[in-house]
Amino acid sequence: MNKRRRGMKTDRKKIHLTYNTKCKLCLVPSLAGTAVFFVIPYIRVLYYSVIGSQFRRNFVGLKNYIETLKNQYFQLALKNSLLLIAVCVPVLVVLALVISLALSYGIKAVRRTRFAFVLPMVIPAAGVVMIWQDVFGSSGTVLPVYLLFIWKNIGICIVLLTAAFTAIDESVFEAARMDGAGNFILHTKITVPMVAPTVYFVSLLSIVNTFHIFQESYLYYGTNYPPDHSYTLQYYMNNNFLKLNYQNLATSAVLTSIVVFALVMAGMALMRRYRQ
Amino acid sequence: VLNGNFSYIDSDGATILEISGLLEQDFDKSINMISASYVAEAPTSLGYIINQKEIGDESFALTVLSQDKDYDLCILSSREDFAASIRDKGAFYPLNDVDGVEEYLDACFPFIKEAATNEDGDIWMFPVDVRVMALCYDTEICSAAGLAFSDDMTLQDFISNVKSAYSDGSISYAAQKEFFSELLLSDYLMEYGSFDTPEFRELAETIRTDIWGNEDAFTYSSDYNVALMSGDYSNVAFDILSDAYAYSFHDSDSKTVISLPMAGGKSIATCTFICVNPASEHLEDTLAYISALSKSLAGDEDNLSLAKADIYSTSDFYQAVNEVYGDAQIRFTYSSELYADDFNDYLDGTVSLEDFIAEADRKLSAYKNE
Repeated sequence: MNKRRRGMKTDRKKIHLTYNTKCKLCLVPSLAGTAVFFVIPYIRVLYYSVIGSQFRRNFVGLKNYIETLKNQYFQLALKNSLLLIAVCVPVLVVLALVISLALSYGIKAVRRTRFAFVLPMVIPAAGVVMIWQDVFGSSGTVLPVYLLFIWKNIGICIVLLTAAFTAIDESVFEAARMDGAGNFILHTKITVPMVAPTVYFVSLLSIVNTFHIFQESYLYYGTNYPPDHSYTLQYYMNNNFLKLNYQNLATSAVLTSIVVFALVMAGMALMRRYRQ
Repeated sequence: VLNGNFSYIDSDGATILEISGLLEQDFDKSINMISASYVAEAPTSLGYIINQKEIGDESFALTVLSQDKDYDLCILSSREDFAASIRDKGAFYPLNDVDGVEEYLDACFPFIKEAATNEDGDIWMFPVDVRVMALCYDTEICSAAGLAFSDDMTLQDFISNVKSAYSDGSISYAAQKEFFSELLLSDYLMEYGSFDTPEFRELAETIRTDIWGNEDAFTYSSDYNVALMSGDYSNVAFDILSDAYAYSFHDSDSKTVISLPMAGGKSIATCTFICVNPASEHLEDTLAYISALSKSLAGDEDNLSLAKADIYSTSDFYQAVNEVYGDAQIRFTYSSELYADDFNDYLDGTVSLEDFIAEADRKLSAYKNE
């Protein structure tokens, strides 16, 4: 009897181990891709950020970091990039939330124009920039770039948030209504908590996308040296790349990744606190 | 190539250059050369197969930074942004020990060796072509027309001569406004490093009022176009020249050459040079090619880079060319992207001079300090 039990346990363990092994094997391609395209290059960038030159490779410790942090143009670029995140991301997410809600509630005027929200995702950047140049000309402010960013990214945010809204089971609302909940309670106690993870994801995606606005900004200004208010980290990195200054490029890339990591961590902490 | 000996023989059968000890297969070796933009002054291949590729700025930066083993040489002009970056970042194989290179540079004008050597004494590039811009004029035609060119000529003197030549109507000359303005601007910037100076304000006003304001005068005269097509420049009163080929058309007793009135007081030399990739897979072949090239250029009697080239003793005209070359300098320029478009706006009257200065200096400051 004991032997049979022991035999069954061993079989289960064998099956369990095989299952675990299979799971791990399934992860291998994904992990390999991440390692080859992200982890190993990142480690190389870290290495290049602590050497004196790409071609002489003398170890200089944190000298490059200190120089980059002291550089007035890095400071300007970092300030402008953070300002872009601080101003545009909240506006973008709130605007996308409002439009998604309107789409979910079937407001006719919004439903008829939904195609317009997705249009920026399919129009080539060069075409968009030409229209922008005609509309804004040389406005002398950062507004054209901010509006371009919001207009360009609102489509994907609306798609994701609308999907989150429509995924909420109608029975949850019905049960709440039966318990006497009004519209305000329904949204604050059900809708918002249930779409909060998507809002968080959309916010993160938008933060990452602020670093992709370089292409449109470059086309808009037509130079590597845009007005100071629009000089972002991508300009700083691109210009250093063209000057073969790989150490400045690597250092600013590492510092940027630290900033993005800090923002993600702050967002996660906020989410955790909100859930509690 | 015969029995491993390479000989350069002129039309009379006299040997100009001889390189011994080469193997037949050396001349089947291929060398990969890259450039960021179009380079007209490619070096002679000397029997090697040179695969030249123009790859654009981004690809060039990526190829150099990644130390791509597939390219052996890069060819650049001193007027390109990358030129000084290659030197400053150490993206080169030092050529000090390559047979013939140091000897060749010693035979060149001192400013060429100075530009080819970095602060550590490394020969970081090999100059394949050096062009000095100068004013060539016909003393007889000009004195008959009352045009007074001299060594101590100022910019205003030059402008008044061009205006006189234009109003005469029968004089053949070339003074292209776009080319001349760009030359004056880049020379000024190399000398002063900022636009916010009284000298620049004066220069900008001169370019706008006296050069672009007389745009019919600052161009090719109609007779000059005939000379350009026929190759007979004997009736050309004055012209701005830079390369050996152009100088050769003007070599006559009545013509001479003087420096252009530049802010730095010296003529600008534009140098086309090659740098060896330190990670090259064909380093040995590449260095052998550079060695052969240095010997070939050292033996070229028409090579204007050589301080004592034979050609300089052939005529008074070339003696004057020699003096202009001897007083030239190679400077690694800033990108014209920093000011060219804005300066055109200033010339069009779209922006004021002060606005141009503020904008161009802002870009220049970012370029220098970022």
